[in-house]
Amino acid sequence: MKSLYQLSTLVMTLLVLLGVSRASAQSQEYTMDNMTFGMPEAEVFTEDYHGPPVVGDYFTMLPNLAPLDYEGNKHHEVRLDAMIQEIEVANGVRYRAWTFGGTVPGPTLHVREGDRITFTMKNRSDEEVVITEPGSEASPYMQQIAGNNFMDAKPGIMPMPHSMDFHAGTVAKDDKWRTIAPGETIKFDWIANYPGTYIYHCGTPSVLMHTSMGQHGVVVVSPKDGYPTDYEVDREYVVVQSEYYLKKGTGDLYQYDFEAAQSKNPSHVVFNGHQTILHDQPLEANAGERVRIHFSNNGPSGTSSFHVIGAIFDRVWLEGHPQNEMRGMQTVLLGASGSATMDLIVPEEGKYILIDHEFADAEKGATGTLKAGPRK
Amino acid sequence: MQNLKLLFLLAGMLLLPLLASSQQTMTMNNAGLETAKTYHAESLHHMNAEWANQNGETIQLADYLGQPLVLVMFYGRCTGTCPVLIQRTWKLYSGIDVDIRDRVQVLAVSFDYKNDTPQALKEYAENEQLDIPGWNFVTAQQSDIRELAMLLGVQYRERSDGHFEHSNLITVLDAQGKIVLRSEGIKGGLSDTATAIEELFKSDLQ
Amino acid sequence: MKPVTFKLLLPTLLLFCLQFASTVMAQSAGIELPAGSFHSVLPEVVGEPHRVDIFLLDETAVTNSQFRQFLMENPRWSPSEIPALYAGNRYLQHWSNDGNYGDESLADLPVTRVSWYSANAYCGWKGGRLPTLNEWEYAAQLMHFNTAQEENLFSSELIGWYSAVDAKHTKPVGSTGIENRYGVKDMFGLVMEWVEDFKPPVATDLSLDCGTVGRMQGTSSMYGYAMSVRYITRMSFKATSTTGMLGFRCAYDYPENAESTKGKSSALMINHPNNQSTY
Repeated sequence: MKSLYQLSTLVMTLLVLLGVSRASAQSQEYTMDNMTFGMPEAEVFTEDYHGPPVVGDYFTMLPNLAPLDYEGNKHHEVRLDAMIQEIEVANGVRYRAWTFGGTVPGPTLHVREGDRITFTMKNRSDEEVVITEPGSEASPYMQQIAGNNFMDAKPGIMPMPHSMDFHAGTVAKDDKWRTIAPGETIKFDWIANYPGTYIYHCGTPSVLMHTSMGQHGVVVVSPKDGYPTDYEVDREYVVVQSEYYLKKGTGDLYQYDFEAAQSKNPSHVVFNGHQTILHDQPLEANAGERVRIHFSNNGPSGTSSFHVIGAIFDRVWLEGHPQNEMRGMQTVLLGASGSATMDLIVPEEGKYILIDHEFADAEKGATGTLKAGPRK
Repeated sequence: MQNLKLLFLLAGMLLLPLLASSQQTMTMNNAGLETAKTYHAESLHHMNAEWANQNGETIQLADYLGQPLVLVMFYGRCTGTCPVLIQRTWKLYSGIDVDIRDRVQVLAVSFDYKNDTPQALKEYAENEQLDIPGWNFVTAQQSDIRELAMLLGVQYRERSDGHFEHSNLITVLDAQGKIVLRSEGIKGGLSDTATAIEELFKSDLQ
Repeated sequence: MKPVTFKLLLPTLLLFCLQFASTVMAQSAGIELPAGSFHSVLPEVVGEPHRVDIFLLDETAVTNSQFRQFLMENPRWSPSEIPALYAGNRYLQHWSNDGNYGDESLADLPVTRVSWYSANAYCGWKGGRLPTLNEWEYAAQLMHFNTAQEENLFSSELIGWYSAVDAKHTKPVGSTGIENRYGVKDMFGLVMEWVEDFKPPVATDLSLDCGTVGRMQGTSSMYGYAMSVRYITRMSFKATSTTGMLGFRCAYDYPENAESTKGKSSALMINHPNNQSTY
């Protein structure tokens, strides 16, 4: 009986060791300070995928932000494909853009600090992708675009290599941010270890060209314990500033102006990708409300001195971290890829202008409107 | 005692599947030999090229359907790494179990389509003492050599002086013509590779 | 006529005809480009120019009608028969049916959505090969610019082309009006082209990361910038890749029997008004 006991223990030990060795060989993940690092290697493959280019329940079109309707952390499985769309960026200005998801900036992803994201991206720059027919599995973003195609996006083809760089992710860039050829797909995991609003953009050289051509967007990572004023926030919006370097091409379309980009001389500086959209479709609030804005300066090269005419930012959390709290700022200076989450109290009924107070930028389009109704 | 044997059997049944699943590349899909034209999607047997060997015979990769194949790329006038690479291939070949070795074929493909004619390849094979059954030194059209190099992942470039800069690689194809093993460079042990080749044959026997 | 002269005449005529035929054949197989050297953007050999031997290069990219001929004689390369080993599933997708591109108005368009394998096979069928990366870049740089401004304008337009090309509407070969000084047409402005070694060994070191462009520019010339965009795009391909903007042309070894200047290098350095030095 004793020998039987000994043998079964031996067998069990062997099995456990085998199991453990196989498991640890596959995963190099580790935690440190409550953050998780050591993601598995990215996969690059060819898939026969013709479905919606944006998949995920927490993807929205600017300036909207999807509510986080879950407690704690979640494992998101998302897709955001790269493709070409011909879009309008200002009155009478259309160009063939390189995009993620079909608009510039691309869709906004909302997650919580600590969430895991399994990300898939197909390089569909060599195929025409329609973004105005969402279908049932598509994200809120696609539903919103279908109902509000303000860039008048039309499919195009311009095969180029592309990649994805999520500033919110902490990974080895030669693995996860690697470039894929047209027709290929990349898939990898990343963890939103830090809160804040983070740019994502194409990392294929020339990055200046790829981001100027439109491949950028933001991920809003909400802090796991929130901000101090969360319960008083009435409205929450996302605003992204970016530059275009465009010149007239042959024919009706505009095209990339390489010399302007190199000399930091944009043709347009805009909020949410279009010169007049935040005037045509202003942000809304009522007097006395607390409005939260997640603001990112996606660049690629300029700075932004963000101010709301008529208001002062009651709270500003630089880079969206609750511990980076500033009080009572008139203007927030953000470099390229910098961001801030800010609260303002709408003082009275009327019109407020969002503006990059570097007036050379403002006069190229870096303005928007917040329309305030009476106090409720 | 009976209980012991039973426990042992049970443990064995539990352990074996775990071991088997960790050897991904070795798993063979034995659907049997299908018609010659229907190759596995990734099979190099799709290559149409006709290779002429040192005896003037014509070989196609599809001829190897049903048996694993060792591939190496070199050229005759090479004084650099090729001699080492060929010897390394020989070392691998001779490290294979004697019973299995007779059925292992080696295809040594020359980059030098201009100089390495079948006759030159014959001389080379004789000088290397590798003009033996199972070893084929071959040449073909330039674009065929390019294609094979691309499929295997061998990089090479012809220099102005007629010599070739090239990477070093020994590849093993399985019975369906898919690449299952790659041994890069000219350093490192080969006993694992030899064992793996033996495994390929063993699973084919089942 | 004297009998001796007559006896001499016939063989002489025959010899003459043969020589003429061989030169005609050499000509019809592409344009001769003399040996020379050029500077690559890849930091393999710092500062050293890359030598290229004399070779022949197709005057234009391979057209739809030429590729159709290849498919007729080699049906295993047609979309319905080609194995996944050689091309992705969008191979020749824009052709109306299996071996045909459709309307004859499309005959002279450069063939696109072809993989490296099919391009390599085509060139082998034609008795040639794909040009090497260095041969292609060397031929592309054999442009004639009168002034630095002219070169910058060209480069600026080239970068514009890389970021604005309409891959849905390619134009016929020869239509760009861009020619190198030997008459090789459309190396820019029409389609990107396959080369034999599109991913040279040094590419793995470069890892196509954000900082690469800076390292690829020996001097900060616009021509170098355009070149780096092209190198990076080319290096991102796989041999099975096909895109609507990717075609190819063939190169041929200089025939051994012809009066060869092979080895007798004319050491033709590329003349770029912008830079006496390198890029």
